[in-house]
Amino acid sequence: MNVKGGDAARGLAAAAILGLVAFVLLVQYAPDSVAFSPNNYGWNGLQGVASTYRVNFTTSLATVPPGSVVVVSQPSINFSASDATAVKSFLLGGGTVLVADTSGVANELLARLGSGIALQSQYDVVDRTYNWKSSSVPTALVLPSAKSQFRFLANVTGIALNKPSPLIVTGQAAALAVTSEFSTYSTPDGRVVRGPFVVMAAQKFGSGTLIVIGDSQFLLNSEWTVADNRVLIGNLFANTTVFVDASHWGASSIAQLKAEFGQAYSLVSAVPMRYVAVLFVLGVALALVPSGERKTGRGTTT
Amino acid sequence: MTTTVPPSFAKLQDPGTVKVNHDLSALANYYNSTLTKIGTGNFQNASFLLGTFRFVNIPPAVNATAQLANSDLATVNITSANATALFQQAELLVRAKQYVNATALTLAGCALAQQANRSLADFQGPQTARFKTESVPVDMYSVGSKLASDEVRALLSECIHLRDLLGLNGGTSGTAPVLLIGSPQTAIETGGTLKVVGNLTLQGSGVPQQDVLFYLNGTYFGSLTTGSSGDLGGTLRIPFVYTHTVVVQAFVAPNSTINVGGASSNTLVFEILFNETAIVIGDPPAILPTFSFPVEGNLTTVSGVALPDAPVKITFISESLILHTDAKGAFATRLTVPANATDGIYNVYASFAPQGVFGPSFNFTSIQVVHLPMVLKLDAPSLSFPGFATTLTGTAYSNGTAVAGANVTVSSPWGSSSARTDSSGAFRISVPVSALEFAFSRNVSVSASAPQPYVASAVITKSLGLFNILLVVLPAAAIGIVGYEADRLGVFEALKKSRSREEAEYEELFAGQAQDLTALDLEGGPELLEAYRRALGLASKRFAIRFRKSQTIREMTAAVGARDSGEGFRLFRGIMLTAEDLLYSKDFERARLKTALDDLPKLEEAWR
Repeated sequence: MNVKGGDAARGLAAAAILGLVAFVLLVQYAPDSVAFSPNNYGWNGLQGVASTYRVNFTTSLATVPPGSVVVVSQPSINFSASDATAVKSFLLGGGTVLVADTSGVANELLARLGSGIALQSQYDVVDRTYNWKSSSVPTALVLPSAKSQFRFLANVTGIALNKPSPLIVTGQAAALAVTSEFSTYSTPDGRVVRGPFVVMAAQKFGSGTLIVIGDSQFLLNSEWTVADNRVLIGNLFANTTVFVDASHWGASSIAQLKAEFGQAYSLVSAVPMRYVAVLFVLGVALALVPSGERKTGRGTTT
Repeated sequence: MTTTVPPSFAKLQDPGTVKVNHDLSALANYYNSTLTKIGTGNFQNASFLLGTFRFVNIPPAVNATAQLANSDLATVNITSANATALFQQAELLVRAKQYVNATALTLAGCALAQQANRSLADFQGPQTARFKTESVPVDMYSVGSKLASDEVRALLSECIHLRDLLGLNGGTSGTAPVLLIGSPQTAIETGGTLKVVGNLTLQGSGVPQQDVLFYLNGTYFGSLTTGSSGDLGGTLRIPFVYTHTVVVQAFVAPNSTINVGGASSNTLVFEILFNETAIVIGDPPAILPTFSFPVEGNLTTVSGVALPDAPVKITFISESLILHTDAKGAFATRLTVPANATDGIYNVYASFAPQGVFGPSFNFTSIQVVHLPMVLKLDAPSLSFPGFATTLTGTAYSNGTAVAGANVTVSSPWGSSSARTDSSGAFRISVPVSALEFAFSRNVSVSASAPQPYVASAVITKSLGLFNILLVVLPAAAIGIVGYEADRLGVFEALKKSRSREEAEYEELFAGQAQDLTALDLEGGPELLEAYRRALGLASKRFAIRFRKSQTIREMTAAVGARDSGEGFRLFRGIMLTAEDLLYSKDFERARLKTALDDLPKLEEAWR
């Protein structure tokens, strides 16, 4: 009876481990329809960008390696002082931070960083002339003067947007792209304000660069290949590693799980943990193989 | 504290649900804005709008017309901008009496203005008509269109005005005089004199008392005044020029007082002569790569007259540049030693380089290029372990100063790594050592190249002491596996059983003796019996004797004595006889017990 009980326990353990592995693989590779998910092939997914560039998801802004690119897209949880400190340290270390937002939640981060950029999330800019389908999806134009200052604007002229929010740019910040002079937005009291409006701006922090785009959907599958968006994203993401911030999304998402897995993998793959992990796996494997099986394999069954 | 924005991602809009909407009034508005910018001289903003037209959402049906219209507007924009700039420069040159250059600019500007006029007419005519048939509300850009027309008309007017001013309208105007000039010379020495004659007439009559301005290659160099019959003559000194030939032309400005317009003369071509010249160049000092050094000298005629503004060609290594002497014939510049220059002597050549008929003067000097040596120090751990990274540290110095930012590369059998020195010249490189490296030492070479090209590169080789722990682990594992397998196959068990059989045999052999000994109950008896068995075992092993149970102690002693008669046998015999005495005599002399026990180690030593 004891032998049978041990075998049953081992079987359960093996099934649990296989289940865990299957779960991780499903999270990592199975298609889904969650917004901003790297496995989402639909209009609101990030599959296009995530499969073209080295894109990871992170749940800790403090652990992003220097010199890479951090993307903050449509955050729904406010940024703390420690978040801002981590981002500022990352920027001063030469990193690039791309904020793509229309919700206005990123304003907390922009303010804590001391940047001269703020999102006017209460307005949606429309343009009857410069657009890629209709007035609610305008195409912004890159300012020629900005191209000489920021190399990532090379060969970028028009940026396709979706219900963008105008930006307020002051101090050291520089406007990079504006909607055309034909663009407008309406105030709650019915007044129509004429453009051009700044919808993309940047500010240098040490050797790093903060870039703000007033459009949450800039990286989504439905938008990233329109106009010169692909060129701009390529200029920013090529030859580096991109970390999408999943720590400021309210609902638990696949991206957050992927970020957790990624961080766990980074931890386990580092020396000396990798050796410990290998030994652990070997130990588990040996423990799961019944002792009788082992003896039978050597031909000494009694 | 965290705040969730409700509902999450609420503002996202699926572009797939957005209906495509082409707005033709937006297109008309675009043209109105573009034309207005051209019409108000805001050419840069107009260019921006035209350059971004591909992002304007237009229906495919009007795309062909729009492309043609945009091409027209782009031409209007760029030609208008350039014509405006040319006319402004021409006005300035007229004021400075630079009539030759002003004429060239005016003619170019007029051509552009006419091109702008043609392109605008094409836009306002055929293209607008097509737009109208394509339902584009063309009236919406009528305001901008009128402004652009006004701008182009203004350019054409400016063209006519400048042509009149410069006498370019020739016989078309009744007040335009005719100016003819000539000279008895065909060649002029640079900086020398030129004799000129000529006349100024209006409808066959001489025009007196008019200033005629003379230009050499477009540069004013003197004037003469017409006489009472409109004739002119005199000698003018030309500036120092260093081209093979020059063109001389004369101009007369309009004179509204006597209602006479401006006029330009025929042109005269002269060859320029150069006197024999001399060039002197100073000797620069030794210099490092990327550092600059002064080069200076003088260019004069052999009689010592300085040649001002003369071209001097300086050639250094594979580069050359043209200098111009100052008013005293002096020239000076700074040359930079190329970063890739190796140590050695390099010549700096200076030559007078006119395009004249006389050979140029030539001289040269030389410089010595040197590199500063770099001293590289490298420290490595005394022992490194394959499978792990080892860290190399060191410093780079040159001329007693730390070399910061030097690119340091380590080449090892396991790959290359690189780093840069910090501000103190120190570097630290981690070199991964392959886990499969079983040698006990390997050489690694470290090379350093300084960011300053004048500092030479350095290479140093270091031997790394290595010890692969697999050298211990693998044999140990092999031994363990062999032992385990031997144990599993029962080898040890068999050995153990074999030994036990031998012991059992002896036990059986002496079983009766042991019982007797036990009966005696003698103190020290078991030890002697053990010594007795041991002595037999030693003899059996040394002489390959198989003792039988039937043999007496004396027979066994005799068997050994037949093979050995030395010290070993004496000790063996003592032990055997003592045992015999113990086992079989009625009275045992206890003193012999100790002697026998003491002799056993000696016997083991003797028969070892």
